[in-house]
Amino acid sequence: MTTGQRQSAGPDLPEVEAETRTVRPEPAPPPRPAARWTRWLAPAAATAVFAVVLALVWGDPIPTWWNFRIGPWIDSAEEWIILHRGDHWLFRWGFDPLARWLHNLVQWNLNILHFLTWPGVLALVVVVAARVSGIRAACIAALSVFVIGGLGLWEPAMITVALILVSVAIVLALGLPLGILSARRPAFERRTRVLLDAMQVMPAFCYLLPSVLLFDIGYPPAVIATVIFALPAAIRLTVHGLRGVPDRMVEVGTAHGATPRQSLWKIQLPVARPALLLGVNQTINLALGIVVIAALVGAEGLGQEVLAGLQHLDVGQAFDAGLAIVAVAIVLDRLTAGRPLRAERAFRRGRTPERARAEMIASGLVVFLAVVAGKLWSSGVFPTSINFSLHDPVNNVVEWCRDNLRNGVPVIGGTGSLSDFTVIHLLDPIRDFLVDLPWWAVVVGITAVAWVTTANRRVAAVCAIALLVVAGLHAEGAASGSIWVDTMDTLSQVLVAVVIAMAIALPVGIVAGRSDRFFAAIRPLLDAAQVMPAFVYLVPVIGLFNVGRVPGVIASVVYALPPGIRLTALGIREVPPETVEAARSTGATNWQILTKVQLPLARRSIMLGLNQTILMVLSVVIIAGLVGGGALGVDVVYGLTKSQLGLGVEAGVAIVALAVVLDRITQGWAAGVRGVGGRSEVPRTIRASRTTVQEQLEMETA
Amino acid sequence: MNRSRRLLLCAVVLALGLAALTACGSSSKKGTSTNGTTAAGGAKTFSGSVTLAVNPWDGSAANAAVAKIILEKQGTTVKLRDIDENAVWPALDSDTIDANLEVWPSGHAKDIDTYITQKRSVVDGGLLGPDAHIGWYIPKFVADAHPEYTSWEGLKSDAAAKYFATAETGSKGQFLLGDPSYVSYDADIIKNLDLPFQVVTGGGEAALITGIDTAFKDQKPLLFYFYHPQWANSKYDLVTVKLPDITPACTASAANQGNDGKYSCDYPTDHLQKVISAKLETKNAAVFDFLKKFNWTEDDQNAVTTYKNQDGLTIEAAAQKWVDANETKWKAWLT
Repeated sequence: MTTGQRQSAGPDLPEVEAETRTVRPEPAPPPRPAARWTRWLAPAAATAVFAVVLALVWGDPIPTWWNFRIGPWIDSAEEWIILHRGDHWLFRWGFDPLARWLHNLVQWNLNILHFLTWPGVLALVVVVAARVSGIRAACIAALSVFVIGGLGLWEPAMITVALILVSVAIVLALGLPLGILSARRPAFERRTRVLLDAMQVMPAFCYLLPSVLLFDIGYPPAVIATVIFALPAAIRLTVHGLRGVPDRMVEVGTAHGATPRQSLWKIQLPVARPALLLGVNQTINLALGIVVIAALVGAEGLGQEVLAGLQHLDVGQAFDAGLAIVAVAIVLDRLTAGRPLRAERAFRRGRTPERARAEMIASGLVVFLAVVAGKLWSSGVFPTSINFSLHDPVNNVVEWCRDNLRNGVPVIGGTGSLSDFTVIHLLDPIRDFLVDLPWWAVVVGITAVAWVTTANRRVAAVCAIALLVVAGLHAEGAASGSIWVDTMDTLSQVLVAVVIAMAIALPVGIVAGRSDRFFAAIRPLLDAAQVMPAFVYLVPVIGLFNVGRVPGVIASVVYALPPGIRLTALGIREVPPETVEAARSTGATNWQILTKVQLPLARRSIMLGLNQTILMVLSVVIIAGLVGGGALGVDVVYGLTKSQLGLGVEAGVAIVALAVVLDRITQGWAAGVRGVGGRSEVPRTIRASRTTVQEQLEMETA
Repeated sequence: MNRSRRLLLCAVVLALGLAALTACGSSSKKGTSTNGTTAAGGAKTFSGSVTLAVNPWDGSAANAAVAKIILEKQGTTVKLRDIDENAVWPALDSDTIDANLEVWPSGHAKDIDTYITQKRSVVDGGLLGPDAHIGWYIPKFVADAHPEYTSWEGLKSDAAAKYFATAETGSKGQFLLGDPSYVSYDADIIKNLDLPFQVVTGGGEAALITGIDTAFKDQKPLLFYFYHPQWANSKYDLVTVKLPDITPACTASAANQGNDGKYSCDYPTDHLQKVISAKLETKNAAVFDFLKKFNWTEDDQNAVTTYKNQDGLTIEAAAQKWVDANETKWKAWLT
């Protein structure tokens, strides 16, 4: 995520180099003016041939023989599972014991949390946070614990915490070894890349109900879904961390006779620690993103509270639960990667073995006393007298917004007419354009755009293949009758959402990049926007904007804003101060510095912000489907709830294909843009880029 | 440093072990105490424990809460499980959940066929009592202003299309649908009756009700898919739109899930039913029998949900209030 500046961050800080992606050849060198036409010749010829072949051989509409039959295959697999679950050996000796084991793990964690009682949990959180992240973090964590209790959600929050702890432990147990393997064997990484992409973008809905068939209801399917969703981030950040270890460090070790194993354990892993901690942190955040969906399969916890609020359109209730989820995220954040580096430095300064032991004993004593106190005092139930539920104020605010913002706002006329405007002048024209084009024209057109703008054959080929895969999906029951049309509809919504998100993220990011105070002020908001479940703000958004595609677009924008803002701000920050100073000394105005120096140099980071924004928007397509977005989002929901697994999965595949196309194209752009820190690239894993280690480094060094 | 780490590790392991022990201890205690109790009153012996599903709507919660109170009075421990209505079926199949007391059969034809008819791991628990009905609705203020729109013939005009049009539907009128997984023949009805309307899928029940809420706030026209029993019926003044009476052709089409695209009538009535895990019959015959006999009217169910939504009681308190007032009714389920 960060580049040049890190080198100056201090000698004890490892250089966290970004993941270098696969062995994709470097983009073509910038064309010389004289040879410009040759750059166009090859792509033009190839795409023309491609177009002719597609148009003549396949024709329009998509021929029925071009069919991967994923849907029917999935459906028959489902049927087999339903008939055989319970007595087949695969279940008796495979899935059932695994499910029982997962359930017991969660239950044990829950029992421990109950055993500790709330004062015990509070003491444990404070002690650990103070050791790991310092006193200030401990105070914040303690406050968050009080917030959870004060919202009256202690019990469900503990279920959620237990679930998260188990999921994260499993993700790390799998992700670290796989990450190490990927870092060492680029071939392995290359082969698993599409799979990881798919795991990350495929809506959790697609594998949640199937995992109920395999693992029954309750905690196990929730844990499985979380693991699938969060594993790619853990793997990628491990790779990212290990790749960032400077070669000379490893070489020094080897020169001193370190075996590969010693080199891994004693040099590479310790040096990569910040990135690994970032992985833990990200895993937790991603896991929290899934708790609401987990509630659908009987996992209960805070997600259940959000759904209960949604069911009665009680925004206040859902918001309280969402706030508790944010508080849980803050607590876990401070316990894992709060400020590890600063704490480490403090440790190094004044730490003797005796003192460490004394600290340890004191901490243990504090927790023990707290547990005893908890047991004696009202048997550990959080006192109901402490209550700061925001239920009523939130409902009042929502009500006020609906009464005052929908209509009669000067100039723009209110959210209602804004919504209509977006539908008539943005969504409809783009959708109609994409849907009315013959399918082969879309395939060829996007491929050509990819080729020309990224100057990379491979990107173009990947786009063509992904779109041909979408063309080969023919599951019955899609919203508009065909997966292809739904994909185009979703694409149009994604494009509009991305444009709106970037239109907001750019100015805000620029201000945040130029003002530390502003950045510090909006950071908690950005964090909360990422962890707060989208289900919480669905009702107000539908209330403000008419049911239809617009609420879906708005929900995606809210969710996708943070990475856009962050990466823009980081890009501006990364511009070396000397460069800015130099510009200023030549008499450049503030505006000139921004437009002539900072923005051009931050272009690369902004491009990556665009990339992240697109992926985030795609990952909430399903949420958009739940508020009237229709298209692929509704196909997934419909397919799974109607036990037409095939349709749900095919729609999921289409979402993944769209993600691959848009991701590769924007990554290609970013790779082609010259900016600060030439070869750094953001691993896409940092999608939910919350308070990351790197960002803190950034803040400290800035 | 290393040593203190090890110490910490030991402490954690110890704590884990302790917690596990206490957990096991307490759960086994609970087990023996519930198994030992026997029924007071009634001819049958109630014991053991049973898990009932609660689907995310009030009616479902009311059934389960009432059943819980009555069964626990007899000495059976009842655990309620909040769960999505579709995830219930695999759980009934593996008897993780013993029964679901309110199933809208129209939405679960495939599940009923798979689990009840083919695999026989779930049994039909008989009717719950209330009849549900899906239909087309408009707000009362629309019906007052335009009585002609209370029947499908009235909707067959350009004026109606214009009246109900939104940005999403352009020149056609908007028909708002909610959760896409609920049974819906609306696109076929519109096509076959040649109505100038277009279906907009809200995507979920919450979206649908928010749409209704907004229509009432803004006093804007809205034609939508809705159903009863549903709590929002008591909050908003709604009027049904008359659709053509059910014909044999429509019944045949509905039997085929409307896949032939020929459905053109009013929705058939949904007789809410109970479904029970087949294993419960051998595991706990008394409870199985009780659940099969559990049957009340729509008014009974509405009473409980009204106590909750209008008097602000918790669902448990609301159920208790009904149980206290209707002893003769539920006594019959125990015999």
